[in-house]
Amino acid sequence: MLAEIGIVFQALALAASIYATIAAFLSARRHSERLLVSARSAALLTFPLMLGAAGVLLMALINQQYQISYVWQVTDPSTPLFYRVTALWGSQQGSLLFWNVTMSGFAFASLLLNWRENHRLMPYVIVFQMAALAFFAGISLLMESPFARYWVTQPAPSLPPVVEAHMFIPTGAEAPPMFVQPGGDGFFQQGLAQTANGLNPLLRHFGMIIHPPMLYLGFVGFLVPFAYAMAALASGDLTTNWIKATRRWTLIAWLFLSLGLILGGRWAYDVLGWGGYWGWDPVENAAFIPWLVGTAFLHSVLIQEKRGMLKTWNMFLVIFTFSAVLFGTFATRSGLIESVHSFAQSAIGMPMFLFWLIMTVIGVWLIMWRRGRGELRDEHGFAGWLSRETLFVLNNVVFVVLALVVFWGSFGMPIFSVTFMDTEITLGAAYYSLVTVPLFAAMYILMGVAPLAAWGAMTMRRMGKALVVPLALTAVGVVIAALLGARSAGTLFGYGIVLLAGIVAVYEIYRGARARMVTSKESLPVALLTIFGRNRRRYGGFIVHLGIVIIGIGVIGSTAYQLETIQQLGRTGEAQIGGYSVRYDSLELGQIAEDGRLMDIANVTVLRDGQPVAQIRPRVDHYPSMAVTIPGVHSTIEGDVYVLLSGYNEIDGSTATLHIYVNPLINFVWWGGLILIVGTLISAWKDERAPERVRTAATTRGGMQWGVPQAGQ
Amino acid sequence: MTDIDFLQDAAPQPERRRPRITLGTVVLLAGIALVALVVAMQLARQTRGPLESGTAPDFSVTTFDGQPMTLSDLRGQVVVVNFWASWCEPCKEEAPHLEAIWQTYRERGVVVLGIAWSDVEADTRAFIADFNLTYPNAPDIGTRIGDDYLIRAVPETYIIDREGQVVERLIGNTRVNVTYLSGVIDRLLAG
Amino acid sequence: MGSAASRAINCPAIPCRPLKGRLKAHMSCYGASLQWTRSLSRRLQPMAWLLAFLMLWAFTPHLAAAQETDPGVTLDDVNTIAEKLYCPVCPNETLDSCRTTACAQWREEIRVQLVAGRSEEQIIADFVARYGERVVDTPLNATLRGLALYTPYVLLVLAAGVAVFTLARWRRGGERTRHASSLQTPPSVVGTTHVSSVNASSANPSSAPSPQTTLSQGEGKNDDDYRARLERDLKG
Repeated sequence: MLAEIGIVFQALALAASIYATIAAFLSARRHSERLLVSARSAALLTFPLMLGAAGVLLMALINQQYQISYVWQVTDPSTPLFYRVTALWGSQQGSLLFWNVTMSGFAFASLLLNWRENHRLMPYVIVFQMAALAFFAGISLLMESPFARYWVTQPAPSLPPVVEAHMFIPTGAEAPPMFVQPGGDGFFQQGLAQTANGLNPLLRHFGMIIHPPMLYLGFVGFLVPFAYAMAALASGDLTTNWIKATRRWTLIAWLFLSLGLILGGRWAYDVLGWGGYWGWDPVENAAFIPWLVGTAFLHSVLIQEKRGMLKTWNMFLVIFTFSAVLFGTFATRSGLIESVHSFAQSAIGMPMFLFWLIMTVIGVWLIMWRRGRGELRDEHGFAGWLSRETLFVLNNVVFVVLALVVFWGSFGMPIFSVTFMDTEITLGAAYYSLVTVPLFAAMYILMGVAPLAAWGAMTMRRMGKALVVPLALTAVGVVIAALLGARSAGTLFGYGIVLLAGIVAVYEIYRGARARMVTSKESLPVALLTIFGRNRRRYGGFIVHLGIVIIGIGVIGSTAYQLETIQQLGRTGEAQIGGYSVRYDSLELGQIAEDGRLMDIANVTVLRDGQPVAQIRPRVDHYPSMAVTIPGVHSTIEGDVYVLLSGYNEIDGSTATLHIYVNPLINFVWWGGLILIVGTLISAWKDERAPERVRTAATTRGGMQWGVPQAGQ
Repeated sequence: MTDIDFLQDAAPQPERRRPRITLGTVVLLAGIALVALVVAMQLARQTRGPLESGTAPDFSVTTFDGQPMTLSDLRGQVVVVNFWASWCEPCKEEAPHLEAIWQTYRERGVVVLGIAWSDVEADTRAFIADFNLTYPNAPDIGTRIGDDYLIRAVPETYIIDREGQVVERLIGNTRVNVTYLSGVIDRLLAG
Repeated sequence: MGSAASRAINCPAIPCRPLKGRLKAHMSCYGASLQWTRSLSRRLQPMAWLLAFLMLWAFTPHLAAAQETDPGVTLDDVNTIAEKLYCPVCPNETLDSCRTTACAQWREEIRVQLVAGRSEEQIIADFVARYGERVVDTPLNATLRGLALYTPYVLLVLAAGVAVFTLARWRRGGERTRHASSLQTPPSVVGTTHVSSVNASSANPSSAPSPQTTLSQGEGKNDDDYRARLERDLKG
């Protein structure tokens, strides 16, 4: 019964999205008000319908409806309620439904919030949002149904019965038994509840619970700017309206994507047991590529807003951000590339590939068409060799090349090699550190220099002047780093450029506040509040830069100075590493956790200068399908001592093999992530109190904005 | 102004040139087409079916006894090719069955050939010794043979008829037992 | 996508799965009955279950196997090489962190070769020769390696080229603009054009606007913009 309701909800949502697409398209062609309103109603309706479908699946999960094959796959009778809820996105079918919910949710919100200010774009916004939704709703309903149920059929009297998952009840089918008494005879020795799979053990972690929804929100969120950009191209309203309307949406999507990436890293560090947080796995990269292109867009869109330049390029960036989202989704959900993260390979590969291709080609074609008609001409044509425009263009070069390089490493080269050279290859950390490090270095240098540059043109001398203070402070920082033990020229240079970027961010905030203090006689805290209130995006942006800087400090520290050793230790044996002693004390074998898994736990003492500083318990969790190595971590501001139990004497625990890492400064990565999120929130927050005049002043500060015809004037 | 009025207003038309195809357009679309083509090829590769019939891909190996062997030289004989590895548990169950088949049929024009896939040679040899395997076994150098046969996991077993055609592909070890294999082989020898 | 994300998620303790992408990602080992298929019939047979469970049981002890140390060769020496090689069974997982029997055997092989006095390069080359390029983190084959590592730099040069081209055009456009704008806009505005925006990044809220000078758009539009700007100047 439940399953049927879910299917009906999904089918209605699919129908509504298809209707909305067609009606909105016709409304644009025929200039029909009635059709547009009707399309909007249908589009708004998809969200409650999708929510309904997800609610039904949630009920099925909570009520243990194991006849539904998805429920059988991701839960079992011992699964606690919390994981029953999170199992909603624990596997392919459920996560696709969840994806649909978020997609319709974004469409819903953007249609409600932006309806009045962006009338002209609306018909095509609905067309593109609903076309995308219809595609994913169709996939979810027809190909990857979360509501398929198991049925027992008898193919022929002589053959044994077959149990298969079907969406519709096959003729003469019966439901398999839920529970079979032990020792019963007949075809079924066990019922569905007895055989159910249970949630993948690796997904039972806080980071894993919220990391996927964050990533989906990030991915799906880029649908909004994409749809607006496409609507601008299709409707011919090529002013900055679409950018203004989607500025905040882009930031929100970017925020969720960043959050998803950071949480994914944290989860990898806590659960996967390999001492790191970023493995350059194709699926991680598939989420990183849209982030890179999206970051390029967030920067270059400023040039269009302020100077009316790079119009074509921004269209490309926003379309390729979403194209990267679609490609990543396709690549990881179709089994295109083998990855530990990927979903089971399924038949949805071809449709998703075609959808990605069609959306990308339509986007590019629309851009080139408008450009060919001369409608994407830049309003200003000038920028000096040394100017903020130039540096922003270089910033775009860095981010786009990073995205291309990551794409090449995770998809391009492996596919090329296997297709044309008949050799399967892997590109791992060695490749990425060779090719991305120079690009990241360039990114930090630009972060340090670009905020000081002026729009239009600037002389070398002025730039030099602006850089004097930050450079001096950076030099001090580098000397401190050297005194603290950084020795190699490479890491000192790395710390130098990262510090410069951070100092410039702080320096710019300080200069803004000081100017305010001088002109308005405000105290420093008030002045800070004022400047942040007046120009959230600019100063929030500096906070984001600061977050990236702190992440950079953590990444450099934890990669360049990571120490690692594997030692087999007897009881009370000690391993020395980086000033620490790690002592193996004892082993607790076969501990039973509350959810029934078996744990083998080592008791390990971390000592510094002979004094115990921490007791940690690295362990191995045994699930029926796999063993998971959970590290024991002693975390300090300097860094982590991260211990994995990688082997032990199973009989008496007389020896244990400990894989010990010292990861200096690694916590900076998480703190930086927090700061980045705060900064993004500041940037994305609605400027509710800034009156029009102030906002105008803020945006014209650099002397721009004139070429942009205002909507509705 | 109602929500919809704008639809009646014709958008201000900028001065238009005839659309023309620029070099940039061509390069871009060609680039996308190229990426799409390569991706589509890979997708087709990934989703192509397993090797269940047709001519068995030829290969040459050197067995652990130092004997060179080439599949095409075995035309006229029924060949049972078994992909396995010493770290694979199901392989341990099926090995005695394969040995029994080899013992029963070796004089009647049947060859059992073990291909050790992604396995360390010392472990392979230990496995062969442990199970007293006397049928020829050879390493899959560079895992080329496994690639050609599109194997998905070990163990996989292919039964190849006298004409070099794949007759059966057995995944896992559920059917790799004396009863089932001798049934297939008897049929092939008779036919 | 990232959801089912995990470094070992599809790579359970049973290690019979090769790297091939075509297979169902959760299918692990033939005969182990663990793969979830749409058909339940096989799963519902208790024997298969028992078998699967027993086999799993048999796997875990390998954690401790093959870890005896040789005086000359430490686990760290083995680990240094293992970090650069990939597991044959679990995709994108390096040998050092993989817990499958296959990887344990491979690590032991590294140790044996180290004891035999072979260098890191020799060992990696040997593994590549035996198991293919997929086991190493960047291909050893010169063509593949070159293609993998140089393409990014080619991309960088191309992108930088496009950027320089754009900037050069902007600059040329700027010259033209400057010329054209001096014909259209009052001299006082022109005077402030680009030079005055130099200090834009300081918190000076009154930088002068640059002129609206797009040549491609009609004259009327220019006039409108000019009027709008004047209005705003008066307001501000």
